[in-house]
Amino acid sequence: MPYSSRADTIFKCPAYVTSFNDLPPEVHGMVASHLDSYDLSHCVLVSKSWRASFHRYLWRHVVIMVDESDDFDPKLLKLLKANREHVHSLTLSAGYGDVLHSFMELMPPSSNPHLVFPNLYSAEISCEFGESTDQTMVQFLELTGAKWKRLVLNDTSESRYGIDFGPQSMKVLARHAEFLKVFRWSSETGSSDGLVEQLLCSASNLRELSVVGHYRSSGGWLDARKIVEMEWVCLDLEVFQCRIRNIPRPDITRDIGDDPTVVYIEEGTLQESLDLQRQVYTKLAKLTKLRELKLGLVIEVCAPEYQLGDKTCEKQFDCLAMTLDSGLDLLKGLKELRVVGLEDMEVYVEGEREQAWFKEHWPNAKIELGEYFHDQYLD
Amino acid sequence: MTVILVSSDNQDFKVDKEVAERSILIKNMLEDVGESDSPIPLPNVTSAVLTKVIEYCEHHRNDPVQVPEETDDPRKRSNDIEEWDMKFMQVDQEMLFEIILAANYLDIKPLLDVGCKTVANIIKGKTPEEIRKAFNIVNDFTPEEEAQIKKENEWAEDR
Repeated sequence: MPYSSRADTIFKCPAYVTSFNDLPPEVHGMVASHLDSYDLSHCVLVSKSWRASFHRYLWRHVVIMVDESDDFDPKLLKLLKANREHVHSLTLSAGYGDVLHSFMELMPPSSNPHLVFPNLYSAEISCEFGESTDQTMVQFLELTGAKWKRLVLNDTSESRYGIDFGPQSMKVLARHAEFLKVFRWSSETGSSDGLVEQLLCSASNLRELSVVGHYRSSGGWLDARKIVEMEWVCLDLEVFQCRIRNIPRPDITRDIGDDPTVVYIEEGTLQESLDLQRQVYTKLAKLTKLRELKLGLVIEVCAPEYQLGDKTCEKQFDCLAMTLDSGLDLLKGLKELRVVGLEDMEVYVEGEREQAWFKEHWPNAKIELGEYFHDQYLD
Repeated sequence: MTVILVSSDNQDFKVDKEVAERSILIKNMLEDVGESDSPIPLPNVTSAVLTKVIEYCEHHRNDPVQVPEETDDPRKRSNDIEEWDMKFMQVDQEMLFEIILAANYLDIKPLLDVGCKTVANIIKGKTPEEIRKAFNIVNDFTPEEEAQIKKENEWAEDR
């Protein structure tokens, strides 16, 4: 009597043996949460039951990388739409071109845009050249019926064209403010005016805020005087990365550029400078969970010069001095600090008193004082 | 203070209350009945598996209650398993799945987590065929179906 190979395997297992398929679906999900797309794409090929278990997790975190934004495969986007309810996070990356615009072009319009990705809460968009408008970003943000928890925008365009995140986009994001945990935006071209302020005052669960913009843009940094007026609600912040500007620094008497004169950045007396700095430190001191405090410049590609009237210099002069005289001691409660980034800032932290203070109060923090070498990029 | 746990095959296990309470299921049961020395039946757990589970709870009796930080960043998830746990999990596959089922039933989150990480580590880096071999699974796809799925998942193959 002929018997199939299937029957053969069954005969070989006389006693019942607990196997992977006996685990409940939620446990399959927990296993899947430790695997990346690559491994998950193998899991769905194992067998029909494995496919049934893992398919949804494969589509949970989707990464689409193309060389140029018009290389988007329409078939892939069709599949993405077919699996739309599984998608929790979406990464779009193009070496060149406006990834956001191309993506939205290929996303067919829907009568209820919120339902396109009902569970999407995390997005990462990277491109080198973008011309998307505020409205394109609004359309993208409205693709989900879930609440945005994580938004990462990387824009490495050197031109003034970039990912536009304007007032309309902010309005949409504000509806998600209490859910937002990570907002990271690096852009050569800067960010919208007042955006950082709005987030600091509305996103009460924010864990990471990093906004790196071009020095000349209207945003991408915080105005010290505005900080003083604001009420911050994001007291659980662990990563704060944003420059603080417009602090008078009459203590600086060094020459700037080739011009051998004493400069006063932001008109103000020494007393005004110290008062303002103290108020800023007081605000920062509330962020007791901070692990990373990065106030310096961190664009690695092309560090800009600072414009001071008609003078050009290579350091930020309108920043916190980070000295004990200016009120650094107010920050002694930030015990969790691991990284303090002060690159390219005119700070005098190398004094003996400051060094001793760092050792005593921030024993685990690495103070980064690097300077960028501009010349090699400028020529 | 000790409590008595009874396995599905009717064996009694006398353990410290503190150890037993690593299981949220047992902890809640004890809170519900209050002061009582009546044995707690665990009809879903055999003595062989319960022995292992108690070994784990004994070792981790003083661990602080961990609040698993949910991470929204897929790249942040770690598959690191501490050394003792790794050795503890060096069991045959049937026992591994039994431990996971018991941890799920008894609601011992850290043990369930270590179990799932162990399974994930077996899967990692393997081809579908290698996974089948590792878990003794029969491929029930037709070659056409397999080709179709492969095509749909091309995007995930690059890393």
